[in-house]
Amino acid sequence: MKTVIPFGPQHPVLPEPFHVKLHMEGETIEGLDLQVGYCHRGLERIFQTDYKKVTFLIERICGICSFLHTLGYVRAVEEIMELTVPRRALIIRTIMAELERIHSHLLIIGLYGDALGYENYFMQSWRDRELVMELLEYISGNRVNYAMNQVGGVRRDLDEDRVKAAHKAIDELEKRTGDISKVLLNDVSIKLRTQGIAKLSKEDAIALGTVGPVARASGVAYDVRNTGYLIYPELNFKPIWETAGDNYARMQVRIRELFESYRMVREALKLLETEGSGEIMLAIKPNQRPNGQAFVRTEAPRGECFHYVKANGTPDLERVRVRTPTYANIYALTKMLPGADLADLPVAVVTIDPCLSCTDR
Amino acid sequence: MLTMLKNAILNLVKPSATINYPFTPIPSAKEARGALKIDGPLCIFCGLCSKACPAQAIQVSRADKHWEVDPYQCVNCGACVDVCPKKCLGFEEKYTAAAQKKSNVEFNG
Amino acid sequence: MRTEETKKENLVAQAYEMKKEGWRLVCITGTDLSTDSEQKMEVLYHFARENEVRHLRVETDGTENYPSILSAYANALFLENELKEMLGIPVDGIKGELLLRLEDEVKAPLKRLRGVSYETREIKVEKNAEVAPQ
Repeated sequence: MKTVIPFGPQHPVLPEPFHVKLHMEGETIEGLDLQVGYCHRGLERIFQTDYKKVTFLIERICGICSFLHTLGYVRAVEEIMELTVPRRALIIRTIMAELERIHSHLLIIGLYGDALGYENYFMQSWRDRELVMELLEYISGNRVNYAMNQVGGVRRDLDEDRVKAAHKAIDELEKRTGDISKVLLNDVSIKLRTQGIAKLSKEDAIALGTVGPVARASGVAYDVRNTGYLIYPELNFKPIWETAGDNYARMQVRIRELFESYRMVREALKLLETEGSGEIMLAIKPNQRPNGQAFVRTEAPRGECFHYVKANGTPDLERVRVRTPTYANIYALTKMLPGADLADLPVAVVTIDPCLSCTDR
Repeated sequence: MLTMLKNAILNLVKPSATINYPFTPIPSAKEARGALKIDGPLCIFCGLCSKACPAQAIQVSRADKHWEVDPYQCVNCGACVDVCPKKCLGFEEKYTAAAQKKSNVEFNG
Repeated sequence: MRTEETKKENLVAQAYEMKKEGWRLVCITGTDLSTDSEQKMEVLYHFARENEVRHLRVETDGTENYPSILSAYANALFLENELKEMLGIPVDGIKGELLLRLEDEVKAPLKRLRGVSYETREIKVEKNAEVAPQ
């Protein structure tokens, strides 16, 4: 029997609102219509203001990848203004970007456990996430919207105490992630519910333009950190990818990325210690204003994030365009879900790590 | 199995994980950006903080010698602290306490 | 950032060619460049292949029919919907109701009205506007 089931915009499994109209044949999903845009805030219009204020406004696109939004934006403005950012600022930016990836991945691992009906797992994962949140607060001064970046560098330095605290937190996190990942990767009942379900083939992943862990789980070894921004080339960064393309592979990629991030944060912290203190912020004259346009790609926790800035020599920007990873990934649901059961839908939705406030802006 | 047992026994003897707020204050990180504060007598009412504020939370009137911030509109970014020529703006480490009424922080010189 | 000028008549053929060469569509950016005397919009197509990037630039006045590259790139659906909803460019075959659900309040919020700045623009709410079909 054919039925149409509305899923969302408000649904217990969705942290943010989007609507899916499911075309069902019995218990099996045959097709779906997507509808996003429930949290549109008109931010791209608000960004047509003073370029220094936009740094603080753009991180409010999303609470989880807020540092990555400022990073992409300041990289674009620095490219327009032809500024060379001090090396110490680049190292601090790399550390912050990786810490944010850790906190985002631990968050989605917890939500994934919750979607599977394993609420204890959710609590464990979020308890561990608290360690990195506290570290981020200690480094930047704020728990969520860090206000760390500004055009020309970073606003706070990492002193000796903070480096020590970061080393301690990363060691503890690595131990705890080892514990929780054992359950996620080896448990038989979790494997039965995730392996081979909601598959995305490599061809579809390329055709639909998916990015980040969703693409990498389908065998597309595409990671923007490979293009060599910040100090990633020095940290010997290698993209992590799997070939299965199912729910299990997508979370496997995230867990392996966590360990890669721990390693990179450690190495970057060591660089900070060995190179000693230095400048972290360039002085920008008040009459120095951006004029031109720039296109910048940054790897956010969820995938490739795109920023385009167009300025015309006045302090006010002409256009800021943001294309977030979920914007590219959410459409892949239309290829992933047909053939899956209705009960698999929440898990499949969580594995693409949807962030709707990013998508709608 | 044994890890679970260890956790269960530890949870029995550990002190409570929650804080008895508001009687016990919430611990905040060192140099956290909790709430904006002004060291009044130093202020010259130049209005630079008001111009730099991305959230339009600060109002300054040079004629009336009046400075005012709406703490509920403030986004704790610290842009005003960076531009202040007299360094009279700063942040308290403690977050704003829960209140029954919304009121602005004002200063008259 | 270097952009390549192209005409909208050639756009679809060029998109097919780029797809064959292995470029992936990253984003479509529409900007309203209208002044008081002239209506002008630019649409930028950003493509990437590994570490290389390419940008196609198309100019339009925002009222004539505009070609869609959906047949070449499936992920252009959301991007072209946004082009229609935010700037009001009539893209072929795109309904423009995927992102904004504000049909009866705001139309094309990023479009400049000639002679009217953003701030003074009045938002008209038509009470008895046609109801969207279910």
